[in-house]
Amino acid sequence: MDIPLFRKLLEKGLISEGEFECVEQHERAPLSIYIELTSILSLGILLFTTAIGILVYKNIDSIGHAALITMIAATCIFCFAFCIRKAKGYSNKKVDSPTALFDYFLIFGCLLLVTLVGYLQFEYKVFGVDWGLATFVPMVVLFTAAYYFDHIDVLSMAITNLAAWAGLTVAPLNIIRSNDFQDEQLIFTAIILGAGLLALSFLSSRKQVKQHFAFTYKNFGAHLLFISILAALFHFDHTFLVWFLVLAVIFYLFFRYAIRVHSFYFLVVTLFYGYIGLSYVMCNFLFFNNESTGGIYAATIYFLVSGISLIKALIYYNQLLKNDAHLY
Amino acid sequence: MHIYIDTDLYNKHVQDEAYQAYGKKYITEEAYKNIRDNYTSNLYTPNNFIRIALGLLTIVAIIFSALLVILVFLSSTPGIGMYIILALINYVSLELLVRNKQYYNAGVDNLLMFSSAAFLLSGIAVYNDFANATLVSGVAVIVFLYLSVRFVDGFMAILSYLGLLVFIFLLYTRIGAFAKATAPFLIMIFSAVTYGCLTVLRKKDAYQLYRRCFKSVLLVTILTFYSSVNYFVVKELGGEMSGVHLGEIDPIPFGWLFWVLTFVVPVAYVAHGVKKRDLMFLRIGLVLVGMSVFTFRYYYHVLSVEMAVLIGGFIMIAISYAIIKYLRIPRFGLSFNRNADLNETRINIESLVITQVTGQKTSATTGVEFGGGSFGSGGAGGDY
Repeated sequence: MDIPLFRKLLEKGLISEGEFECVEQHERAPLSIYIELTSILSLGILLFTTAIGILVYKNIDSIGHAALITMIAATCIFCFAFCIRKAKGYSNKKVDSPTALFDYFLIFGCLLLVTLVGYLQFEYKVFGVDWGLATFVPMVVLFTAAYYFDHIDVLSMAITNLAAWAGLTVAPLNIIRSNDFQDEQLIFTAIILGAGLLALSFLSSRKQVKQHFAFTYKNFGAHLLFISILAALFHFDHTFLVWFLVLAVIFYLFFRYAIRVHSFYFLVVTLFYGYIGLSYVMCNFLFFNNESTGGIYAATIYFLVSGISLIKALIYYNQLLKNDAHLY
Repeated sequence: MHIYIDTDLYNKHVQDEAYQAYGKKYITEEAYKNIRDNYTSNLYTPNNFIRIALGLLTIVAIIFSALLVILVFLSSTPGIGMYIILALINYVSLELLVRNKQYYNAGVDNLLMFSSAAFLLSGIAVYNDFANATLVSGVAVIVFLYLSVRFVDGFMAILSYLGLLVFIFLLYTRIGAFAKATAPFLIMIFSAVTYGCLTVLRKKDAYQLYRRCFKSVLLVTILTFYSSVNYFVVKELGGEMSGVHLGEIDPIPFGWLFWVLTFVVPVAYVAHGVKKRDLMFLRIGLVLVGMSVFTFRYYYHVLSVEMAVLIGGFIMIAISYAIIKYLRIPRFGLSFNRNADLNETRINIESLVITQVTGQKTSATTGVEFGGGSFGSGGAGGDY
């Protein structure tokens, strides 16, 4: 930190003697290398476990599936036992995690649980030929764990599992790539799931049950809903104007919401999806009516003008929200 | 010299420092707001999320404006003139936007800076049929330097430094075989000299507004210094230059020296970082140690991959665990203190890494309880 600057602020009376000392002390205090050490530790654990995974995979014949499953199950149970012992108990309010180690154990346990169920199903078909039950069981456990131990990461895993149960992939980076949005049933499922997650978000904050979970639900719900409506817009050639109207309504609702609660995040997300939808419809019109170069000119001008207007709009609303803008 | 008003830039610096101190709870919310009101700045710098969104939209605007110009030029032969017109359009809009709206690292200005330079340089490159890399890098130095000075931009400063590096390298290797063999030493010396000059300049009050530019370039000089001694870089680049394909076991001149430096430099960075309490050196050094291990394994295939990873992982766990235990009491000016770094950035990055989804509130609206000993843990635990 810029110590001379803070001395100047002190002289001007903008900060107190105590505050200045606090800043100065920070400069003299031992340098904390917490991030560096924990990063190396985490990376080491990651490499170590990966290597063990590869070794096990290569020697599966001599180890045997049964032994491996027993080991995973034992570790998983150990992790959950640790968490249950340390947990502070359920509350509708936010519960802070008791120790830093607790988080690691909980996430590790949950990951192992998902692996274990997948393994059991793949190797022994424990949950029958259908994958429905095989995703339903971990989902229930994960949701319970998320609420009981109050952990947002576990909640995200649970939502991912819920979507998998419905036949969807919602992992943030794979949401578009891994889903077949040509499948009409899948589109409708996604729309319903997205709306459902938004409803859950609304209920969480309204009923004051784990209010801080609301953002996670809303985030997943919003992206899923927007993407599935866009998919519908692209897919249903004959009724795309209807879907554009649906998109416009959702856009309006989210936009109003973002402005009302001062959320720069949802402002950007809403504008982003709205812009994609609008551009699709515009291009459709421009290229449908005249297939000559006129269409290309018009489209170029459209993108140029719309891009610049959107920049202006974004900056305008950003400055409007600036003083207390936040994520949710 | 630059396009902004001095006080705007200075006050922005004050605000940023105050915000940091406030984030670490060294000063109260009231004091922070007071400072913010006393040092007002008209610069528009949105948060990174909005910045990226604005940047993407700017790319859309740049691409389609370029497309429009290309469409207009389609009938005639598009020569260097078209590129210069594109560069001018971008530069003029940048100049006007920044002057009127005071954008500073707003995404829009960063992209326009880059695009105007890129159009100009690709114009020159196309004009010469991509034959004259020395000329392009030479012009690049001037263009990027101008942009970094004019718009106080760190990234442009980095590009200017890299342009100069390439320019000198190309000129030097023209001399002949001797120059090609000693090129790594040239880069090494160049990085070191730049580092030395910038550390001196950085402390001068006259250049205090450019501190961030200096810091960005310093970071890159450290990296180029390392790459000039890294065995892999030296060998592959050397082979590329002389047009000979070197096998994995073929020796290179001064091979032993580069092997020694490949391992000594990162360790020296870490040591320097610890000694000078400089996190930049410490972190880069740690990453480079990893790079050096990779370099070694590239040439010497000791152990199978999984065994190497297993042992490497184990060593990392063992060392970090041992140091964590060792630093329970702060020693050598180092400590292992969770709260000291528990600021906004870390929470953000951590949550991003874990799920890309965060429920953390990131703005300045979190209420702060000052006093009552709650801030005492911030880097200054009472037990040493």
